[in-house]
Amino acid sequence: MQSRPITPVRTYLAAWAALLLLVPAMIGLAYLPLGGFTALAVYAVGAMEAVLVMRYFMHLKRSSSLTVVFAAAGFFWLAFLFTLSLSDFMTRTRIAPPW
Amino acid sequence: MPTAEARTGVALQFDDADQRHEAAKLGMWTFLATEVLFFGVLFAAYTVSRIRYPEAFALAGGHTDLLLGGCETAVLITSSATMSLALRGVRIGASRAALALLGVTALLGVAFVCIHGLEYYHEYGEHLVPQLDFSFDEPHAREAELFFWLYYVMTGFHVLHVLIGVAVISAMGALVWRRRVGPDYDAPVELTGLYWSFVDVVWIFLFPTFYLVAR
Repeated sequence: MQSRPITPVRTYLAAWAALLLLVPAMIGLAYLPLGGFTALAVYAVGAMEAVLVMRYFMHLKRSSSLTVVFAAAGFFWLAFLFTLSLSDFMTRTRIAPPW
Repeated sequence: MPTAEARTGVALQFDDADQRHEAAKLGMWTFLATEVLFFGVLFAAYTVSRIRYPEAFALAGGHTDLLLGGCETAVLITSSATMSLALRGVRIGASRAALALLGVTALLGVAFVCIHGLEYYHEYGEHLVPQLDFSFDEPHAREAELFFWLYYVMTGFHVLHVLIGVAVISAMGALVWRRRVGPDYDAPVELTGLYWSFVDVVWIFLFPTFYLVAR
Protein backbone atom coordinates (compact mmCIF):
# COMPACT_ATOMS: atom_id res chain seq x y z
CA MET A 1 0.00 0.00 0.00
CA GLN A 2 3.04 2.24 -0.40
CA SER A 3 1.36 4.26 -3.17
CA ARG A 4 -1.67 4.98 -0.99
CA PRO A 5 -0.37 6.26 2.35
CA ILE A 6 -2.76 7.63 4.98
CA THR A 7 -1.47 11.03 6.09
CA PRO A 8 -2.31 12.07 9.68
CA VAL A 9 -4.86 14.89 10.01
CA ARG A 10 -2.39 17.03 11.97
CA THR A 11 0.04 17.03 9.01
CA TYR A 12 -2.67 18.53 6.76
CA LEU A 13 -3.66 21.04 9.45
CA ALA A 14 -0.02 22.08 10.01
CA ALA A 15 0.49 22.60 6.26
CA TRP A 16 -2.75 24.59 6.06
CA ALA A 17 -1.74 26.80 9.03
CA ALA A 18 1.73 27.38 7.56
CA LEU A 19 0.20 28.38 4.21
CA LEU A 20 -2.24 30.79 5.86
CA LEU A 21 0.69 32.42 7.72
CA LEU A 22 2.74 32.76 4.53
CA VAL A 23 -0.01 34.75 2.74
CA PRO A 24 0.21 37.81 5.07
CA ALA A 25 4.01 37.41 5.05
CA MET A 26 3.90 37.69 1.26
CA ILE A 27 1.67 40.78 1.40
CA GLY A 28 3.92 42.35 4.07
CA LEU A 29 7.02 41.80 1.92
CA ALA A 30 5.30 43.52 -1.02
CA TYR A 31 5.05 46.73 1.05
CA LEU A 32 8.72 46.72 2.15
CA PRO A 33 10.97 49.17 0.27
CA LEU A 34 13.32 46.59 -1.21
CA GLY A 35 13.50 48.14 -4.67
CA GLY A 36 13.90 45.57 -7.42
CA PHE A 37 14.19 42.78 -4.88
CA THR A 38 10.55 43.09 -3.73
CA ALA A 39 9.23 41.00 -6.61
CA LEU A 40 11.98 38.44 -6.05
CA ALA A 41 11.16 38.16 -2.32
CA VAL A 42 7.41 37.92 -2.97
CA TYR A 43 7.80 35.16 -5.57
CA ALA A 44 10.23 33.33 -3.26
CA VAL A 45 7.43 33.17 -0.65
CA GLY A 46 5.09 32.03 -3.46
CA ALA A 47 7.51 29.23 -4.33
CA MET A 48 7.61 28.17 -0.66
CA GLU A 49 3.80 28.03 -0.61
CA ALA A 50 3.74 26.02 -3.86
CA VAL A 51 6.26 23.53 -2.43
CA LEU A 52 4.13 23.14 0.73
CA VAL A 53 1.00 22.48 -1.35
CA MET A 54 2.78 19.98 -3.59
CA ARG A 55 4.56 18.17 -0.73
CA TYR A 56 1.59 17.78 1.59
CA PHE A 57 -1.70 18.33 -0.30
CA MET A 58 -0.45 16.68 -3.49
CA HIS A 59 1.44 14.05 -1.46
CA LEU A 60 4.78 14.37 -3.26
CA LYS A 61 6.49 13.83 0.11
CA ARG A 62 5.17 10.27 0.19
CA SER A 63 5.14 9.56 -3.55
CA SER A 64 7.62 7.50 -5.56
CA SER A 65 10.70 9.15 -7.04
CA LEU A 66 9.23 8.59 -10.50
CA THR A 67 6.16 10.67 -9.57
CA VAL A 68 8.43 13.46 -8.29
CA VAL A 69 10.35 13.40 -11.60
CA PHE A 70 7.06 13.67 -13.53
CA ALA A 71 6.00 16.57 -11.30
CA ALA A 72 9.33 18.35 -11.79
CA ALA A 73 9.28 17.91 -15.59
CA GLY A 74 6.72 20.66 -16.23
CA PHE A 75 8.63 23.17 -14.08
CA PHE A 76 11.91 22.11 -15.72
CA TRP A 77 10.57 23.06 -19.17
CA LEU A 78 9.08 26.22 -17.69
CA ALA A 79 12.61 27.17 -16.57
CA PHE A 80 13.79 26.72 -20.19
CA LEU A 81 10.93 28.90 -21.45
CA PHE A 82 11.79 31.72 -19.03
CA THR A 83 15.56 31.50 -19.46
CA LEU A 84 15.50 31.55 -23.25
CA SER A 85 12.73 34.18 -23.53
CA LEU A 86 14.36 36.54 -21.06
CA SER A 87 17.86 36.06 -22.45
CA ASP A 88 16.38 37.48 -25.66
CA PHE A 89 14.17 40.28 -24.30
CA MET A 90 16.60 41.47 -21.61
CA THR A 91 19.57 41.76 -23.97
CA ARG A 92 17.90 43.54 -26.89
CA THR A 93 19.41 46.90 -27.75
CA ARG A 94 18.22 49.34 -30.35
CA ILE A 95 20.80 49.45 -33.12
CA ALA A 96 20.80 52.73 -35.04
CA PRO A 97 20.49 52.29 -38.79
CA PRO A 98 23.72 53.16 -40.59
CA TRP A 99 22.21 55.88 -42.76
CA MET B 1 -9.42 -20.54 -17.78
CA PRO B 2 -9.90 -17.34 -15.72
CA THR B 3 -8.78 -14.12 -17.38
CA ALA B 4 -5.92 -12.04 -15.95
CA GLU B 5 -8.46 -9.47 -14.86
CA ALA B 6 -10.43 -12.03 -12.90
CA ARG B 7 -7.26 -13.27 -11.16
CA THR B 8 -5.82 -9.90 -10.09
CA GLY B 9 -8.92 -7.68 -10.08
CA VAL B 10 -7.23 -5.19 -12.42
CA ALA B 11 -6.94 -4.86 -16.22
CA LEU B 12 -4.43 -7.01 -18.11
CA GLN B 13 -1.68 -4.38 -18.35
CA PHE B 14 -1.33 -3.99 -14.57
CA ASP B 15 0.27 -6.36 -12.03
CA ASP B 16 -1.96 -5.26 -9.17
CA ALA B 17 -4.15 -2.44 -7.85
CA ASP B 18 -1.17 -0.50 -6.46
CA GLN B 19 0.55 -0.40 -9.84
CA ARG B 20 -2.69 0.76 -11.45
CA HIS B 21 -2.96 3.53 -8.85
CA GLU B 22 0.65 4.60 -9.50
CA ALA B 23 0.05 4.66 -13.27
CA ALA B 24 -3.06 6.81 -12.80
CA LYS B 25 -1.07 9.28 -10.68
CA LEU B 26 1.70 9.50 -13.29
CA GLY B 27 -0.91 10.18 -15.98
CA MET B 28 -2.39 13.00 -13.92
CA TRP B 29 1.04 14.55 -13.27
CA THR B 30 1.75 14.39 -17.01
CA PHE B 31 -1.47 16.31 -17.66
CA LEU B 32 -0.51 18.80 -14.95
CA ALA B 33 2.89 19.31 -16.65
CA THR B 34 1.01 20.42 -19.79
CA GLU B 35 -1.04 22.73 -17.58
CA VAL B 36 2.19 24.20 -16.14
CA LEU B 37 3.19 25.10 -19.70
CA PHE B 38 -0.29 26.41 -20.57
CA PHE B 39 -0.18 28.92 -17.69
CA GLY B 40 3.60 29.21 -18.07
CA VAL B 41 3.48 30.95 -21.44
CA LEU B 42 1.03 33.47 -20.03
CA PHE B 43 3.34 34.09 -17.05
CA ALA B 44 6.24 34.49 -19.50
CA ALA B 45 4.23 37.03 -21.54
CA TYR B 46 3.49 38.90 -18.32
CA THR B 47 7.15 38.85 -17.22
CA VAL B 48 8.39 40.21 -20.55
CA SER B 49 5.71 42.94 -20.53
CA ARG B 50 6.42 43.94 -16.93
CA ILE B 51 10.16 44.21 -17.61
CA ARG B 52 9.46 46.42 -20.64
CA TYR B 53 6.83 48.66 -19.00
CA PRO B 54 7.59 48.71 -15.24
CA GLU B 55 5.95 52.10 -14.53
CA ALA B 56 2.72 51.22 -16.34
CA PHE B 57 2.46 47.85 -14.58
CA ALA B 58 3.08 49.50 -11.20
CA LEU B 59 0.29 52.04 -11.85
CA ALA B 60 -2.16 49.47 -13.23
CA GLY B 61 -1.34 47.00 -10.43
CA GLY B 62 -2.60 49.55 -7.92
CA HIS B 63 -6.13 49.15 -9.31
CA THR B 64 -6.66 45.50 -8.35
CA ASP B 65 -8.43 44.72 -5.06
CA LEU B 66 -5.81 43.39 -2.61
CA LEU B 67 -8.35 42.61 0.14
CA LEU B 68 -10.57 40.48 -2.12
CA GLY B 69 -7.50 38.87 -3.72
CA GLY B 70 -6.15 37.95 -0.27
CA CYS B 71 -9.53 36.45 0.69
CA GLU B 72 -9.52 34.39 -2.52
CA THR B 73 -6.05 33.08 -1.66
CA ALA B 74 -7.17 31.98 1.82
CA VAL B 75 -10.34 30.40 0.38
CA LEU B 76 -8.42 28.33 -2.19
CA ILE B 77 -5.73 27.22 0.29
CA THR B 78 -8.45 26.12 2.72
CA SER B 79 -10.29 24.25 -0.05
CA SER B 80 -7.06 22.45 -0.96
CA ALA B 81 -6.76 21.32 2.68
CA THR B 82 -10.39 20.12 2.84
CA MET B 83 -9.92 18.24 -0.46
CA SER B 84 -6.88 16.41 0.97
CA LEU B 85 -8.89 15.56 4.10
CA ALA B 86 -11.73 14.28 1.89
CA LEU B 87 -9.29 11.90 0.17
CA ARG B 88 -8.14 10.73 3.60
CA GLY B 89 -11.78 10.15 4.55
CA VAL B 90 -12.37 8.00 1.43
CA ARG B 91 -9.15 6.08 2.11
CA ILE B 92 -10.01 5.20 5.73
CA GLY B 93 -13.63 4.39 4.83
CA ALA B 94 -15.20 7.43 6.53
CA SER B 95 -17.49 8.12 3.58
CA ARG B 96 -19.85 10.49 5.45
CA ALA B 97 -16.97 12.75 6.51
CA ALA B 98 -15.53 12.49 2.99
CA LEU B 99 -18.86 13.53 1.47
CA ALA B 100 -19.13 16.51 3.85
CA LEU B 101 -15.53 17.58 3.10
CA LEU B 102 -16.09 17.30 -0.67
CA GLY B 103 -19.19 19.48 -0.23
CA VAL B 104 -17.19 22.09 1.71
CA THR B 105 -14.45 22.01 -0.97
CA ALA B 106 -16.95 22.56 -3.79
CA LEU B 107 -18.65 25.38 -1.85
CA LEU B 108 -15.28 27.08 -1.25
CA GLY B 109 -14.63 26.81 -5.00
CA VAL B 110 -18.00 28.47 -5.69
CA ALA B 111 -17.15 31.16 -3.10
CA PHE B 112 -13.88 31.82 -4.93
CA VAL B 113 -15.69 32.28 -8.23
CA CYS B 114 -18.27 34.59 -6.60
CA ILE B 115 -15.57 36.80 -5.00
CA HIS B 116 -13.80 36.95 -8.34
CA GLY B 117 -17.04 37.86 -10.10
CA LEU B 118 -17.48 40.69 -7.60
CA GLU B 119 -13.97 41.92 -8.48
CA TYR B 120 -14.70 41.81 -12.22
CA TYR B 121 -17.92 43.75 -11.56
CA HIS B 122 -16.06 46.47 -9.63
CA GLU B 123 -13.42 46.72 -12.35
CA TYR B 124 -16.11 47.01 -15.01
CA GLY B 125 -17.52 49.94 -13.00
CA GLU B 126 -14.05 51.53 -13.00
CA HIS B 127 -13.76 51.20 -16.81
CA LEU B 128 -10.86 48.76 -16.60
CA VAL B 129 -11.99 46.11 -19.09
CA PRO B 130 -9.86 46.20 -22.29
CA GLN B 131 -11.80 46.33 -25.58
CA LEU B 132 -15.15 46.54 -23.84
CA ASP B 133 -14.81 49.65 -21.72
CA PHE B 134 -11.33 50.90 -20.93
CA SER B 135 -10.24 54.34 -19.82
CA PHE B 136 -7.16 55.04 -17.74
CA ASP B 137 -6.62 58.59 -16.46
CA GLU B 138 -3.01 58.04 -15.42
CA PRO B 139 -0.02 57.97 -17.80
CA HIS B 140 0.87 54.85 -19.84
CA ALA B 141 -2.76 54.02 -20.64
CA ARG B 142 -1.87 51.70 -23.56
CA GLU B 143 0.56 49.66 -21.48
CA ALA B 144 -1.87 49.58 -18.54
CA GLU B 145 -4.44 48.12 -20.93
CA LEU B 146 -1.93 45.34 -21.65
CA PHE B 147 -1.70 44.66 -17.90
CA PHE B 148 -5.48 44.31 -17.67
CA TRP B 149 -5.61 42.21 -20.82
CA LEU B 150 -3.20 39.75 -19.17
CA TYR B 151 -5.15 40.02 -15.91
CA TYR B 152 -8.43 38.97 -17.55
CA VAL B 153 -6.93 36.22 -19.70
CA MET B 154 -4.93 34.65 -16.85
CA THR B 155 -7.50 34.98 -14.06
CA GLY B 156 -10.28 34.09 -16.54
CA PHE B 157 -8.63 30.81 -17.51
CA HIS B 158 -7.97 30.18 -13.83
CA VAL B 159 -11.64 30.74 -12.95
CA LEU B 160 -12.53 28.31 -15.75
CA HIS B 161 -10.24 25.72 -14.11
CA VAL B 162 -11.93 26.35 -10.75
CA LEU B 163 -15.39 25.83 -12.32
CA ILE B 164 -14.26 22.55 -13.94
CA GLY B 165 -12.81 21.55 -10.55
CA VAL B 166 -16.12 22.25 -8.79
CA ALA B 167 -17.94 20.07 -11.36
CA VAL B 168 -15.45 17.21 -10.96
CA ILE B 169 -15.52 17.46 -7.13
CA SER B 170 -19.34 17.25 -7.27
CA ALA B 171 -19.02 14.14 -9.46
CA MET B 172 -16.65 12.67 -6.82
CA GLY B 173 -19.33 13.36 -4.22
CA ALA B 174 -21.74 11.30 -6.31
CA LEU B 175 -19.19 8.45 -6.55
CA VAL B 176 -18.69 8.45 -2.77
CA TRP B 177 -22.47 8.58 -2.24
CA ARG B 178 -23.02 5.57 -4.53
CA ARG B 179 -20.03 3.78 -2.90
CA ARG B 180 -18.21 3.52 -6.23
CA VAL B 181 -15.03 4.69 -4.49
CA GLY B 182 -13.77 3.63 -1.08
CA PRO B 183 -10.72 2.25 0.76
CA ASP B 184 -10.09 -0.31 -2.02
CA TYR B 185 -10.32 2.13 -4.92
CA ASP B 186 -9.77 5.85 -4.45
CA ALA B 187 -7.82 6.88 -7.58
CA PRO B 188 -10.57 9.20 -8.97
CA VAL B 189 -10.64 11.16 -5.69
CA GLU B 190 -6.82 11.36 -5.46
CA LEU B 191 -6.55 12.57 -9.10
CA THR B 192 -9.25 15.19 -8.48
CA GLY B 193 -7.28 16.32 -5.43
CA LEU B 194 -4.11 16.63 -7.53
CA TYR B 195 -5.94 18.78 -10.09
CA TRP B 196 -7.58 20.92 -7.41
CA SER B 197 -4.31 21.58 -5.55
CA PHE B 198 -2.64 22.41 -8.86
CA VAL B 199 -5.31 25.06 -9.48
CA ASP B 200 -4.42 26.37 -6.01
CA VAL B 201 -0.70 26.49 -6.94
CA VAL B 202 -1.53 28.52 -10.08
CA TRP B 203 -3.45 31.01 -7.94
CA ILE B 204 -0.56 31.23 -5.44
CA PHE B 205 1.50 32.67 -8.31
CA LEU B 206 -1.34 34.72 -9.86
CA PHE B 207 -1.92 36.52 -6.56
CA PRO B 208 1.50 38.28 -6.32
CA THR B 209 1.48 38.74 -10.11
CA PHE B 210 -1.61 40.96 -10.17
CA TYR B 211 -2.26 42.09 -6.59
CA LEU B 212 1.22 42.77 -5.21
CA VAL B 213 2.81 44.81 -8.02
CA ALA B 214 4.65 47.79 -6.51
CA ARG B 215 2.39 48.19 -3.46
